[in-house]
Amino acid sequence: MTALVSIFVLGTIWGAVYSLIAVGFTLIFGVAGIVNLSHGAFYMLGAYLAYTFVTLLNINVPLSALMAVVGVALVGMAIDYFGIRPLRERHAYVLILTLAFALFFQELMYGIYGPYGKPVKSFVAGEIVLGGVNISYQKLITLFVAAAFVILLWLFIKKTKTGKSISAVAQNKDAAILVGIQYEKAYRMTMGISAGLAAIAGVFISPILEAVPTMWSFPLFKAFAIVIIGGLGSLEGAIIASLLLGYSETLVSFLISANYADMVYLIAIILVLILRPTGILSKGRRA
Amino acid sequence: MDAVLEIQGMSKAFGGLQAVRDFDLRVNKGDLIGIIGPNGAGKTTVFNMMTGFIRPDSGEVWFQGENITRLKPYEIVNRGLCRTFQLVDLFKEMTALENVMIPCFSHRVRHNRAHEEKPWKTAMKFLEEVGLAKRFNEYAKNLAFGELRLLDIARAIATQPDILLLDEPFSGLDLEDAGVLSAAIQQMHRKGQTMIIIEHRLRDLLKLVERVVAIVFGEKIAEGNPQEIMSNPKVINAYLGERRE
Amino acid sequence: MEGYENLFGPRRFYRRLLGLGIFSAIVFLAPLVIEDPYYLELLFLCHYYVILACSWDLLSGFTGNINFGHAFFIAGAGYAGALLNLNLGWQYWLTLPVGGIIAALFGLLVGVVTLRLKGPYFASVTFCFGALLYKWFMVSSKSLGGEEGLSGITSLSDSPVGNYYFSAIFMAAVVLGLYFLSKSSFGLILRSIGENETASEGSGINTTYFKVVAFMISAGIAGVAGAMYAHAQMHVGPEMAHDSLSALVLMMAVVGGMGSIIGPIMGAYLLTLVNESLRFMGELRLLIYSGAVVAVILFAPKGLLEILSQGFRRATGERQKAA
Repeated sequence: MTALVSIFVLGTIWGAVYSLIAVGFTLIFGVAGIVNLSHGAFYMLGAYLAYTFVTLLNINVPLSALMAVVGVALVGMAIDYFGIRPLRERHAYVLILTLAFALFFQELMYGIYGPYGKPVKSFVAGEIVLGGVNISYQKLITLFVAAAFVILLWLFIKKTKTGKSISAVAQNKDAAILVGIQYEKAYRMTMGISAGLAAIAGVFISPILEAVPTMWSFPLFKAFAIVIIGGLGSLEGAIIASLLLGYSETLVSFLISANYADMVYLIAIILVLILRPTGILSKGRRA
Repeated sequence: MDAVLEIQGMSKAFGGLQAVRDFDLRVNKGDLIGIIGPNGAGKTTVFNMMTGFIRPDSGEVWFQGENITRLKPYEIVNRGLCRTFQLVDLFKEMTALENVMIPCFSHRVRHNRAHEEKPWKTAMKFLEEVGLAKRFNEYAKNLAFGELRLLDIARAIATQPDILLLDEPFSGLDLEDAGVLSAAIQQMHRKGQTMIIIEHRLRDLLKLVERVVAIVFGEKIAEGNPQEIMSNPKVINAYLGERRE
Repeated sequence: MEGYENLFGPRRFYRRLLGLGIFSAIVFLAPLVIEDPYYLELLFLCHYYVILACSWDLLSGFTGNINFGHAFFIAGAGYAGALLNLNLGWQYWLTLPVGGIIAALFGLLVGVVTLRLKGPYFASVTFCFGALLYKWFMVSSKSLGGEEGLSGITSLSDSPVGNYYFSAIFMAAVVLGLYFLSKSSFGLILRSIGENETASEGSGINTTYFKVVAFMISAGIAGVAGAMYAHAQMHVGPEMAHDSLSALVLMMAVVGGMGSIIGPIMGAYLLTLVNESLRFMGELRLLIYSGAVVAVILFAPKGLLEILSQGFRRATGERQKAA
């Protein structure tokens, strides 16, 4: 049953990657109440920075990863400070603005790197055979890194003071203000963290998929699908839904074709939003 | 006399917090009722549930013989129950006249309005009633705070409600504006408009209303005429206790 | 009460109507001066994008429900028209109306199930519809031509001038129709929904109904435009359903000035012409657009139209009502 093993392993790997992107997205949505359409762009920037540092500049992998993540996190915080902060109440404008940023970065990548995919060498070469299936070390590393960071994030949110203050703002901003928590800082930090996480995903995926300028849109909407299935602002929900998506896609890819696998998340969003809108959307309708 | 509005056993909890518990109220035609209570007592939640913006966990709202508990807000407005908003947030980028024209396009008003009369004429009448006629062409965002309150009331009465709900209309008003508002409310009452007013500023409220309902922590603790309420020990306790903090 | 004889805001309305009149005159007289088919085709594109941007604006600019999948209706009707033409021999005077009706019906279906959703959700669902259609077109190589699309569609007219006038008449009809619609009670209600949906509902307006109707009109017009484009290019391809088209239309409306119908006209002309003249810059054009959109939203959210209006008001010394 190499097929089953293959599906299970691949599904887990992709689920882990998606969760890295999705938890940041759900955090932003839960904390700041905004949908950040440039989230996928952070993933893309992570991948391109990995390409730049590792392949072009030949810097070693751990340092490259660190620089990429920190760089993208700073970009994320800058976007929050200059772009989103003045517009927090006007949701329509935030949507358009973050979309514009995403397109801007896409075109920036086109301009700097060109339209062709940029390959990054695997961080660790070789594969192992698991249950009759070849799995590259790169994919395994990605799985572990993703799992590690998700767990780290979870610990951060639940156990540290800063993390708990972020959680407090997510639950009740007005109460958090009363207790003295500075919500603007919480927002910005959340933005930085989620951007950083997405960048990590980008860095480790870049050897598996090439870096292309349009690679920001699919993780964005997959993250969106995951977040609405798993529940807004729910870390655990995002993790579970990520794995679900990973498995479904791998299954569909195996049974039908990769093209159709790419439609799973789209259909998921439509179905969930149409069939269960109240369960997911009611943030307590108040006049 | 048959009640025009009857609320029975209405309750609502948000998470662990019981916002409203077992609320009852009978309203007759022409009544002018005040609802008082400290901040966070659940008064606005009652309004929200009456007008369809929030669904109660239990209890029913009967309006003119019909159970309106589960109806959507616009359906309730079209049946004759309309409310103003505590945080006045109208249509900022539209003129005062346009603001009041919107209700004139509702189902209810379109049916009642004389066929010949243009919407803007109807809307002007309501602006005149609250004394804002001169400012008809001013964008709502340029209006003074007191004027905004009056505009919200004009918008609400433009729906030609059988019952008008005012949510803290006096809050934030200075003495002069409060006087204008008071006079407008008394005028409407004389014309037979049934009204329920939530208010925190007791002095302004108690001069106007005939019956008062006091709510504390989501429960009705007293009901009666203004003198009875003001001498009610539970009410005094609720307010004094709050002020001590 | 003198000074308010009609529902329309006095001076600004007449000024814009005059502007539209002058604009229409220029559009219809232009081919007398311009003969180069390259420019005529370019202007045809401008007309096409004006129709797309204005139809988008009716829903998204007025009610604030940002539609990220306008291409769904454009391409859906485009392909429908193409299929009707290739398989049944229907000509443009049938395929365009039918395409529009199909698009409007889809607008109804999609609208009814999605317009009760709040902003970001509505935006995402519309995006998904567009993306799904695109992917479906790409994988359906036998029936829909896959990546290549469908070719051999009968042309709209037999010359670039013909196409130009066809699109110009269509554009004029759409622009005038939508402008008057936006000034009517329907438009006022839509704006109230965009300003403050809660207050609108609290005033007795069935907001979902109005949003759905606006969506249907928006989709229907976009559909007719898509079918028109199909005939003019004599070809349809999956790129018609791609999210970049939806994004482009959106940006045109935003840069020009959402919620005004007039703004998107300017945005469409500007971006299309700039697009063409910057062709040598390749993909960097989109960089400039997205940069422009960012700049507009941050510094002049109401778009070019507002900048021009304020400039005009200041120039004529008119008392400023808006801050």
